Amino acid sequence: MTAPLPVCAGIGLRHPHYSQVLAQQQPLGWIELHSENFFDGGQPLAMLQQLAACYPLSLHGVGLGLGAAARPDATHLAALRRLLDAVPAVAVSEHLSFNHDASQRFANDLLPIPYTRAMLDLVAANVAEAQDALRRPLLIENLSSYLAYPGNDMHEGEFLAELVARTGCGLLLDVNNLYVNQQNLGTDVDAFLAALPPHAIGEIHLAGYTERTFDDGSTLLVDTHSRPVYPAVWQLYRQVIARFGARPTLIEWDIDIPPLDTLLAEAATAQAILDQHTEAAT
Amino acid sequence: MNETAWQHALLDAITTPQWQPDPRFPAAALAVYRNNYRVGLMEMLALVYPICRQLLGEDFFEALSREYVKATPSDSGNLHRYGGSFAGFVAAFEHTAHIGYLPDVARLEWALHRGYYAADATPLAIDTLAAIPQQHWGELRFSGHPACAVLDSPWPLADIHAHHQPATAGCAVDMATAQPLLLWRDSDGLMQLHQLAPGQAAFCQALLHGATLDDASAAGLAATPDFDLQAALLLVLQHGVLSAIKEPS
Repeated sequence: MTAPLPVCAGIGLRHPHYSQVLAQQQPLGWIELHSENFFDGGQPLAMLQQLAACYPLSLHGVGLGLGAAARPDATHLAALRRLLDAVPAVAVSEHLSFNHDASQRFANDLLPIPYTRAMLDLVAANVAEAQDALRRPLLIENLSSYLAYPGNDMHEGEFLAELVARTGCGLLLDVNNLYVNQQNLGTDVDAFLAALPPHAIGEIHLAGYTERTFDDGSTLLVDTHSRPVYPAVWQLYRQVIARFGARPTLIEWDIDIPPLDTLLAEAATAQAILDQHTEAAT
Repeated sequence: MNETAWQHALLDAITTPQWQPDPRFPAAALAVYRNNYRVGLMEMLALVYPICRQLLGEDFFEALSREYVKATPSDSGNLHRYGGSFAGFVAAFEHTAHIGYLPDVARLEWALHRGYYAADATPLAIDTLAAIPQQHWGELRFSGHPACAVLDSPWPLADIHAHHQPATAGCAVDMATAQPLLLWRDSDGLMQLHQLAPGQAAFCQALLHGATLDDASAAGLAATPDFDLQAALLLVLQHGVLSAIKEPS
């Protein structure tokens, strides 16, 4: 296994800040970019290679759909493999979600999956296939969901723990997703966290959600990555760090992207929480 | 409903153009996923087709995108692959079919988009070709550079493109002029347009499709008796259109 991500705060780097981050050496512990934006070559790939020479790089996929009942798309997997051959990524992650069926029909989104024994067999095979093809372990991220399969016979935390045991994958714990699920679906946060194997958690995500009200008067917290991290999510993050110890932590912001300084300030808040934990532990 | 059937049903409920209440999925949740699906694809079209968007106006383009998304499911987990059939769609769509140049503008924008992200390849060096005895050149076949494309259009695509770039905005466009184009990627990774002389489009197209140099030359001559093979070959080498000589099969 390659060296893990540094145990400090990083930011999700998006298009508006590419040149600024390349031009001036920024105080960034590490950066994460979306894998699919760098398939297959040209200027995007060249820029990613430059960034990887300056900062520890995490590549975060949104398109493999490893939680599909159908197998992963071979074309997509091959493109990701070529990318990993071309760029030295420290960590590679994907979601516990699906986006396609066996007839090559896709929804370019992160859709929730059933948490059942039968599904576990399928997803474990998909993750194993991807890890074999990529010749490295993946970090698999818990999902923000707005609905649930009615026949679940375990919760997402138990499902992820089983997936780690069967495939040797690591986990990416998205604290905002967990909070959003608690509010939307009544997810039991303590049960979820208690089920996770601590050693497998290689990365944490933080982001801001948007509250949306619908025609029928119901509301949902939508995982928009368009806002600062909410106080309740910071609070949950502190609990997570107290429970599992310091972990590489990423600020994600994908819509209405603010100036780089705003992202760096969010990262500094995460760093302060990591530092507090480390000081308290020594 | 088993797991596979449930995933199938959820994909159906998200991608089907007509909103229908579905007792299997909460309405608000489905609204989020349906909105994500459409907005994601429509935003990608706006990103790939900025000139079409300017030509048609933002509101019309948005309505057109909505219709395209209804008719065209996504077939890749990579959003950058979505929208390749937009040119054919606007050519057939009743409210855009009368805009003769629009499909070729869409083809140009798709080729620029795919070229920008296309795989890297080392352009064929003149020395590599020069090392082969000239009497064998006619039989050679080549691999094209993945970023290159030829557009043999009856419309002034170069002018239309320039008209919509910040540096040359508003420049004159003579709609009666045909401007066949070679698209190639420069050393900074930026896509460039080169206007082709008569015969050169047929020549380049043939080479990119794997024809022998003799056959490509014949295609150029068939297009115009004035076809200049030497100039065309130089053009192809200077712009890195070819990446390798194929082994004879």
